[in-house]
Amino acid sequence: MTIYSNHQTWNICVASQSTSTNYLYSNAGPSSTTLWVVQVSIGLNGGDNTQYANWGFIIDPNDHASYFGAAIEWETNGGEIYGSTLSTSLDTSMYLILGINNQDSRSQCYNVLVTAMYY
Amino acid sequence: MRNIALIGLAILIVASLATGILPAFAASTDPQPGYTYYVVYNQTDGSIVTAVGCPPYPAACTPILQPGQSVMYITDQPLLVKQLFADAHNAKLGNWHVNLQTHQLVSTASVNSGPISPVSGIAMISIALPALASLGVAMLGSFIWRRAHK
Repeated sequence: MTIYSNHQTWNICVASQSTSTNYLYSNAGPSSTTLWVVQVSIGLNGGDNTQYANWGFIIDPNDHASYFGAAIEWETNGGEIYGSTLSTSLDTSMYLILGINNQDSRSQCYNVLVTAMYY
Repeated sequence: MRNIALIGLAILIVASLATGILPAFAASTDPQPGYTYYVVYNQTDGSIVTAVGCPPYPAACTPILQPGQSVMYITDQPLLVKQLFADAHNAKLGNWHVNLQTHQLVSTASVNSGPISPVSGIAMISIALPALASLGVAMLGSFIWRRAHK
């Protein structure tokens, strides 16, 4: 097992009624057949905390594994963390995409934590 | 003599709070070493879509842009990063936009409606508070020393 990344943290703020989509990892790891295990989590990190947001973590290419979630009245700042473990076998390098949709009338910030490993 | 010791202890506690703990709170939106910061904005009006603090390698610090969006990297402007994220953490990301003429990230809440002055807002708090606290500690210490040696 190779630890590709260990507890890397993004701080992502999204304007009201907007979507933020980013590559968290791009062209990662070997291009030969590899089993990936990626732990992802998302929590609030300031802003308007009484709102609705939804998100999707996707391992590309071709949406091999994904984690979609949503939170309503996500009030406790940093108190509630949502997460999942994605695993998939790829025969190319790995791309991890995160999209966050903030449907609230005010901006919101999120903490995103990722650990990725492959075998 | 006992009173002087108590006063001295109180001063030490206040000084520790002022120069240690308070700046730590104020610095919660400080740019992190090795991080990359960028904003994605709409090309039509310069409004900010997202502001991102991205960790060091192997993270990819690459937004996926929708039609009509552009990215501006601001890592080399740490004061701007600090003020932008301080506002964003208070649900005020909407106060910011990219001036499409000058291609500068500006705050509409700024009096000058230009680039944020380096000595304002949170920067002012984080600089002035420890300085004032240190000055106060020095003056009190001097006062106590003079009384003790009368």
